[in-house]
Amino acid sequence: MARLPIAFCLILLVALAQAQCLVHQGISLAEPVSVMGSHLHPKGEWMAQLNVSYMDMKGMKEQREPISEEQLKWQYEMYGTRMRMPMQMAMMMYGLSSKLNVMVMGHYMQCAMDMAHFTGIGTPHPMVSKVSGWGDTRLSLLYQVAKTDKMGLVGQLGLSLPTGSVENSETSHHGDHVRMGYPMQFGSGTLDYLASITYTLTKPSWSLGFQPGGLIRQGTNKLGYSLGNQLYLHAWMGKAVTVKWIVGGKFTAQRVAMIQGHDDGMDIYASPSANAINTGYTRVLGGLYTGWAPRAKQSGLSLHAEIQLPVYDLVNGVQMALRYQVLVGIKYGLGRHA
Amino acid sequence: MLMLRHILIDVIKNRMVVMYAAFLMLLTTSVFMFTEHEAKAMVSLQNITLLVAPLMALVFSSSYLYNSRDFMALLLTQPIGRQRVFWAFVGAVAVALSMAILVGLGIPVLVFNFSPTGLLLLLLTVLLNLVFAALGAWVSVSIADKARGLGAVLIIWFFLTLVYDGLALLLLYMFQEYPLMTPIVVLTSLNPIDLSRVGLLLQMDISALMGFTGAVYKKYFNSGLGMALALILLMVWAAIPVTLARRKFLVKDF
Repeated sequence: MARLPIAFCLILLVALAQAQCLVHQGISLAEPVSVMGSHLHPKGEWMAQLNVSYMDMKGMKEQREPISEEQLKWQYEMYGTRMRMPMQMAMMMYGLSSKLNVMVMGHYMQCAMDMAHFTGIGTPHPMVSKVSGWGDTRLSLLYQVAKTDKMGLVGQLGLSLPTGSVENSETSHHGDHVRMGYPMQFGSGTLDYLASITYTLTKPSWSLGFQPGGLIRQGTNKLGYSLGNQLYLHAWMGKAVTVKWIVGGKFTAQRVAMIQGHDDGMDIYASPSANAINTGYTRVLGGLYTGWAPRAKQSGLSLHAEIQLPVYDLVNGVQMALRYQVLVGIKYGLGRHA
Repeated sequence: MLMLRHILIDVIKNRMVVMYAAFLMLLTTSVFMFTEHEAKAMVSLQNITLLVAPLMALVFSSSYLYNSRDFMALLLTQPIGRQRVFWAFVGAVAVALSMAILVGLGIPVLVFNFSPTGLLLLLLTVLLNLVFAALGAWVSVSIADKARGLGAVLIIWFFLTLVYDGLALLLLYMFQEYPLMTPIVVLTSLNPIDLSRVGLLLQMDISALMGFTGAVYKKYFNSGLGMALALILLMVWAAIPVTLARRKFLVKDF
């Protein structure tokens, strides 16, 4: 499994090196599949998208440096050794007009965390925590701020509705229910605002774009905390290999603030993930993406894939270290893009 | 004046301006309603407006001026001075966006937190709006291609909101063994967003939230002098790009 991202990167790099010019390329292929709200659809048209992503984390780190088991055992009862997080995201877009679209997006997530539990004697006892459920649902309006034949500027404003749980719990080895750590709570519990602006420049043989955006949390949830505000920037550049296939590079900078307040149902000494001071990070990811459309036109079906690896990762306190994230997606549009 | 009024009405009727005012009003009201402490609400609000107001001013002013290029050319064929055309367009955009801020941000601030701090937030946001509307005008007059121009304004926004502070921190980190009071004041003055942030935090007198730059400003000047300096520098920041844009506009070949 560990060789998967390297093999994926190599395939895409080879394709990128062989890239050639083409006459026409659909804009729906131009941007990475993880970038949402970058283009509009004409009035009355629909677009559906399904993404499946996988995030792999391994080992603990303190700020930028790995932290040893010896250091952790004096502070916490247990700690995470590995976390795998598959996620499915379904998105629908509808063109209210050629300049205004509505977008709704839902997530279903699974999370499995391998833990090491300090028993006091000998080596730590291994255990696994698993949870699955819905995340928050996002509802947005997209507005075409400006458009020329090669450039698009789309603004997005939306709400993140608190449909995800903040009370995921499990049965401990003592037999009582304990709340799982913050990374295993899929919801925020608050009604939040989201906003972004996407600039895309599409030429016959290549395209580039960037999307700065953010998520602003409102108030505190029923458990007395609020997740940190988020800021991000996606930037990408793609080159068409054929009329139906695009390959490109992407980088993402993310800043997630620390959780404000805390959940009294979590024991802050149980594990690093149950302590709010161990939340939030500044991360820069770099990677490659590809998109392929069976037919060389802008509408219809297209398949996408993306991989990103951390190039800079500064976490608040003690958190698990991100290894890579992979995403595959399928888009189905009814009609041409605006 | 007639031309300014005509363009102002056109800008105010623009859907983006109406949406901007509505978004600000919704955001400001919910921040005040969901946040327990007024000081915290003001800081949250400032953090949001420091991102949103510059972006909106840059994008809207430049895209409106790009879209009005044909109308501008038509006006310039008439016996109307170039200077009057320039000020009518730039003035209308700046006034309309300021009105959107006064409605969207101002009304909730007056309702929920009618205080010197609230009024100062309003003033600083309007000034910041003028600075970035002027920058947007300068870009749209300087770069003929709309695609490149809009890309440039987004890069300016991203640089001044996020990258600049990162570079400033990097410099401070690299030269931490040297006295840094004067350089940090100069660095802050060179970024209108930092100036606006420091201006409000000085008024609020919350040293815990001020960070290094605010603390240095506080040490260098007392609150009144520091704030006055921040306001003056913001005005200078607005004057420079609008002067450059005007000069370029007067000789521009349409």
